[in-house]
Amino acid sequence: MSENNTDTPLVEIAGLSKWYGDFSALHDINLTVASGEKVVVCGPSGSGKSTMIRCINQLEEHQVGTIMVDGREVKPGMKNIEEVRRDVGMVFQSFNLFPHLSVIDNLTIGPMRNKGYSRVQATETAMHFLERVHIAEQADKYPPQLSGGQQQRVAIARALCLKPKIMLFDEPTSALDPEMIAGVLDIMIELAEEGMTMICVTHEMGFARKVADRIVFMDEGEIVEVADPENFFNNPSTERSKLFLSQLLGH
Amino acid sequence: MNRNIPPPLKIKKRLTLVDCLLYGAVALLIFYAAYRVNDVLIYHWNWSKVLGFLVKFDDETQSWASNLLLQGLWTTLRLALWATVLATVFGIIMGYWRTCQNLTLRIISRTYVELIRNMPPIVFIFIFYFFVSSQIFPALGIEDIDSDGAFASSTIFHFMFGDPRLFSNFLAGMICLALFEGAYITEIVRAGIQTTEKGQWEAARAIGLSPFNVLRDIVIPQAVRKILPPLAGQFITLIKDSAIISLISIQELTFVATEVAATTTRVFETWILVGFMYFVLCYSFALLFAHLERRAKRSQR
Amino acid sequence: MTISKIFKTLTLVTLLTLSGNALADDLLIDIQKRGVMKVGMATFVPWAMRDKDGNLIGFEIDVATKLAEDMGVKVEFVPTAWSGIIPALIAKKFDLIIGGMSITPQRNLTVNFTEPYAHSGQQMAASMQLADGFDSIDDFNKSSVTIACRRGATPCIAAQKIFPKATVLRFDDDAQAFQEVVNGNAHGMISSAPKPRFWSEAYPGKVFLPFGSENLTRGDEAFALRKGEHDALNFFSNWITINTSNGWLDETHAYWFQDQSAWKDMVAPE
Repeated sequence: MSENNTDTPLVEIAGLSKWYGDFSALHDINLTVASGEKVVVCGPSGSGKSTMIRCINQLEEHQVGTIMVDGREVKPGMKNIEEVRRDVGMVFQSFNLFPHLSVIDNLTIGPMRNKGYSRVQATETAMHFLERVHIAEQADKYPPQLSGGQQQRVAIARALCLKPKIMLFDEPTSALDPEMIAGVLDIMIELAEEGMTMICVTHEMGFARKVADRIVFMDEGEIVEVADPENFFNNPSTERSKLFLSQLLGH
Repeated sequence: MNRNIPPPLKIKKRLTLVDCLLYGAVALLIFYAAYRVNDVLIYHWNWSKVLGFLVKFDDETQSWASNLLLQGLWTTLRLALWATVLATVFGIIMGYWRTCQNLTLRIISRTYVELIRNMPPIVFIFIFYFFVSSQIFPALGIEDIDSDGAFASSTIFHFMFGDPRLFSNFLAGMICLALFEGAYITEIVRAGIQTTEKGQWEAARAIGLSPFNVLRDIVIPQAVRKILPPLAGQFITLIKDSAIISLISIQELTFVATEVAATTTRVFETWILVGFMYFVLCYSFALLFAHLERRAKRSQR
Repeated sequence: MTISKIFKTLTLVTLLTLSGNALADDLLIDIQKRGVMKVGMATFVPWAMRDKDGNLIGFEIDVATKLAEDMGVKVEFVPTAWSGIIPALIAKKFDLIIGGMSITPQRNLTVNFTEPYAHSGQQMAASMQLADGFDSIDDFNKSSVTIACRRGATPCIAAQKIFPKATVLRFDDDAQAFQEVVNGNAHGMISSAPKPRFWSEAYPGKVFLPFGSENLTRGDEAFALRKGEHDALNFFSNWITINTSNGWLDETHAYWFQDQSAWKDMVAPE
């Protein structure tokens, strides 16, 4: 898909630390994500996984460290943060669709306002992505009329309409009923197979195994282990990783 | 399974003995109060005098025309409508300023709200009417509105604003009310904006919308839907608050009532009638808004 | 009491802010240029009241109408709440007050008065139930006696001055003060003639005039103008003098004040 210079990593996080008041949410995070890579971030709750990816598009502001997105530094309070955000698609745990806009309008509003696309162009793009997520027939419905799984698929399509360079997923299936999780995961797998760069915070280890190039395990605000799926699941190298895996998989 | 089969019929409620006793007790209380008042209060009731000020028979046009009290009612209604429109505009601007990033705007709007909410309406009105309007209006040339001019004497003007000769006073009263109620609407708007889920802000910013567009396309439309019910309530409050405007001699219902009461000396009849008129006005709007709200909810399903 | 104090301060301050106004003393010219004389008044039987069609009638209405005629302009009435009528004058909501306003030195500090155009006094109406047989000042001047009056106006000032020992009850308007007497809660009430007389005629068994038709005080009512309007003051005062000499003012006054028969029907059907 995207012809990126594989020399420049898409996301470069160096020495990132963030505090909420006196509480250290992130401590000395270092992570590099290359173009086309799929990174799954996992860990117990409170480990800072969501905080970390939300720092990438500055929905959370960090105090120490640098974050580079496609060669551009992302800083708190920087002007034109919108330009960075248009290259970074985000999917939220609680979908966050705009309830007063129809599905198709949810998708077209971004491109129309940001890039000045006409309604016709934007609608074309929107329908394309709605078909990608297999939900084109719901185009004129309103979010409250859709099921959770459907809403999340719309949310994915909405993020894709920006044609972002990287997609961030913040526990996209955690708020879904079990029978809908598969539908959403399938789409994420399709995206991965097409070469989209992804950072995904999730508990879905089956998905991680299938899709991830690397697994990043975080605990208490720090990155504890980074490994490829094979090694992580079969040979976790730290005590904390072992503990986590046994809790997660040993039901 | 067909989910539309209704449940078995509910047993209708019946009046129990306790209900009857309660109704009886309340009726007894009311009658006793009326009897005592009648005993103590020496007063010659005369309703026809006062009712005569509602409508009069115009010999010239051989038809019924509204008299002072009804005219006062129309003025009150006009005041309430225009003041609400203006107050909503103030309220939206100030409400937005209350929540935006700019510190100066936040301070200005906060000062506006706190000043007005912590002052009795009468005091505010006197300050505004005697100081502000007497300085600003002549400067704006409003005093010299040509009451015989084409626009001013047209029926449309009369319908919307009332007597053109009293327009500058009407304007003063309207702006006064609007400024006053605007403070309360500011808080309604602020609450509407702030209770918009954080997730909406985040999603809107995440797709790269500029702060202005976030507000315009995502937050404000949702906030507006939320503030409509309290706004409707504020309109009804404004109708009642408009009675205070009588102190600055705007010819609305309360002021006219004082004139009728003084002229006919039928104090009680006048005020009971006027109280009833306000009640009818306010309650009608309350019913209307409740109906509209129900319709809006139904269409969202 | 405090509200009128607020007003006095308000008007003084307004006056001071406006005193640098170079356009004072042009009132006559302004009125003539406009072609309309705006008169501030308050509803007060029988000075100004509404007839059953809602039009303004009364002694003041007649006076102001003739005045405007003689000036060659139209007249426009601005009904105003009495408690705010002086501040409204100073704020230029109208040109002058023709409102049965009694001349008092206090008021004169903030507004100018013309020659008096009427002399009404204050009268007392008393309760038969409480004050039967009272007919002298001393009868009422006791601490056990309650007297009702309309606040912020000459009636209450008269009440306090003439009956210093009595308890004075203040009300927002005359009707309320009068109701106290009728209900037997006050021994008497003071109000501008001829209202007490009208009321005693309406409630013959309950209310009477303890001093007959004599007034307790003699008042001087005049037009009120803003300070600095000397030419206008001169014009209006002389108009009053002329119409006193030729008897028109007395005639008109008698028509409205002597008894109600002449105009009672106009006010409203019984």
